[in-house]
Amino acid sequence: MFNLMRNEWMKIWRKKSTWIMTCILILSIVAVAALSRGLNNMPASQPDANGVTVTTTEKDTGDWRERVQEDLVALKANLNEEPHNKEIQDSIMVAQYRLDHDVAPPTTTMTTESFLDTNASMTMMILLFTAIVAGGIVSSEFTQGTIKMLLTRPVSRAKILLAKLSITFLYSIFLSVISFVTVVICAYAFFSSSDGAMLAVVDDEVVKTNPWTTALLNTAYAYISVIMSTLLAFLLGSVFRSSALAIGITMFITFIGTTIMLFISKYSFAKFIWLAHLDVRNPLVDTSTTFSVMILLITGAIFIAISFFDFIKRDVTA
Amino acid sequence: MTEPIVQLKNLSKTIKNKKIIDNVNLDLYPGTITGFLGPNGAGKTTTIRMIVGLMKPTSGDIIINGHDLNRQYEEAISQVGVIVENPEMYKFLSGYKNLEHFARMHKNITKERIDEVIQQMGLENRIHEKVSTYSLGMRQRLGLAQALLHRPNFLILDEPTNGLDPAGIHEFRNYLRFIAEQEGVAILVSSHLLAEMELMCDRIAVIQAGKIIDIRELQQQETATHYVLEAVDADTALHDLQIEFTKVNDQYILAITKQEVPTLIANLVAKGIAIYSISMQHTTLEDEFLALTGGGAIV
Ligand SMILES: Nc1ncnc2c1ncn2[C@@H]1O[C@H](COP(=O)(O)OP(=O)(O)O)[C@@H](O)[C@H]1O
Ligand SMILES: [Mg+2]
Repeated sequence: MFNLMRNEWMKIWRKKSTWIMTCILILSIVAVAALSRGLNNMPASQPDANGVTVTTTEKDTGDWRERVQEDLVALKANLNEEPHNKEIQDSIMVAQYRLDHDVAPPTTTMTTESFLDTNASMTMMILLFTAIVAGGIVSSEFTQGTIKMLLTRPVSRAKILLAKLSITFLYSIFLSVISFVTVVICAYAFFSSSDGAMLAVVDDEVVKTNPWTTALLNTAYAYISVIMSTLLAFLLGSVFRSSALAIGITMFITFIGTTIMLFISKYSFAKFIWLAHLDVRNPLVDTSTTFSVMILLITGAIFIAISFFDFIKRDVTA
Repeated sequence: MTEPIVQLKNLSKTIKNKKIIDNVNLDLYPGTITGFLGPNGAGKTTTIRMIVGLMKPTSGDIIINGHDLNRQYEEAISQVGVIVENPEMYKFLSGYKNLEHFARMHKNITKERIDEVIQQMGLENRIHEKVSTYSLGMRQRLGLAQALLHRPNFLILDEPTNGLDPAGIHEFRNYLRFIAEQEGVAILVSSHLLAEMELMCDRIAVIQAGKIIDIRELQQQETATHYVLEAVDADTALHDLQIEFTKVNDQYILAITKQEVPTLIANLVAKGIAIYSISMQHTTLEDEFLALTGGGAIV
């Protein structure tokens, strides 16, 4: 099994596209960092760490207490209109806590801490690149005709497919590590650390949040989409034996998925579609987290089962 | 003969209600090169794909080295080397990386063994270049190298001489003969060219429209070839040279070996005999083959 994985790893790295994708990922992060750095020097309007849009015309100067006080008034006014909005309630708790305990908010410009969270948005790119590898890793053997050289060895087809699936995930883990390392380096290279602290409401208590934990947690949740798209692209690639088709359909479903779900969310079957649960913390249909996780696990298992069944059973005529 | 290494028993394959392979029975023996002869579309490649597990037979059994391919795939295939149609290698890898890649899928193939095969196939010079730069002949050699890496005792080659030049074909034939005789490998070579099969094989199985219609042993070509001499009044001269002959019309059928041909010509010329032609006689088998397969279909 180790040898099979080594073969697959070698084959993906002997292709130029793999290197290009890795470089694009690194360059994108650096570019985002450079742009944010540029924006830091301009007056900007951006949401602060607690989801409240604060307009800073002068660059975080003046006393933060005055600004928080102003926010508090505005938030309370909002709450009168929507008395049951949990987000507003939480924001009020946080603002009150800052004033009571004298905890400064993070600056509204990009800081080392806030840049760490960029990592989660990079998973979209990792999703794309992993899907490209997943869709091609089986189908390319068919289009190259090498599948017949691969399947006439004393190794079962199941093991060969398992090696390919494992390497696909290893590649996405590799990209994730690269992404995180690059983000951390950029966070320190381009930005300075903030004096303020991020606060959040957990179980009706205001607590300080660790920017590292937040960044990694957000990444982990975003990674669910990567896993599902990878399994889908892998399935389509091995069933249709065409990487273009596999990657095309996967990307279409991934990017249009949310829109499709919004259209069909009124039907009861919508909750059984994995696309509704990709954001488990905030699914598109009204269900419990347990149900979301179940649907994701079952769908993933079905994708894997079909890939293996088809690969093991089908006659190879390529 | 000895025990067969490979047995095909009542092998059939139906695709979309069309019987492509129909009840094929064939045994293959160690040290024997068996030709698998049939016109294009007869079912040679399909049969070979089934023997190596790329396609599942609709019915029938394949036994290799005593293992049922369907139930003990890994054991059955472990001693098989194969090239199905053209050897497709990873073009973006070097020849060496390709061999390493396939070597890792077998047990216990050493670096020395890889180097040995490279040398046997005469690939040393360009083995570290990308396969995309190789000629068809080099790809065939590389294909043969990957098939031989694990010292198989059963070698299957599907139309292997495609893309080889005449010198290459000659060398290839000698090499097959060598591994059959020296290492006792059972070899199955498919082709649609009868002449090629005659030179290469010990026996020929003829397939036509999915059915095996004839299996026959070939006599050793090098020792028992007949030559047909077209000449006028050569009877006395041939008597003097002590060469046996049968005369049919104006043609003398001679039982001589290839090595004796030049001397014979020289002697006849010295005796003032007019020679119009001399040729190797292998018309019988070809005629039979054409008759069997309905003629015309052979390219
Ligand atoms: N996957 C397939 N589907 C339908 N027909 C096929 C398939 N593969 C081969 N055939 C048919 O089976 C016959 C035998 O093909 P093949 O084994 O390639 O012949 P050969 O190798 O002797 O030239 C041909 O008539 C071909 O059209
Ligand atoms: Mg063929």
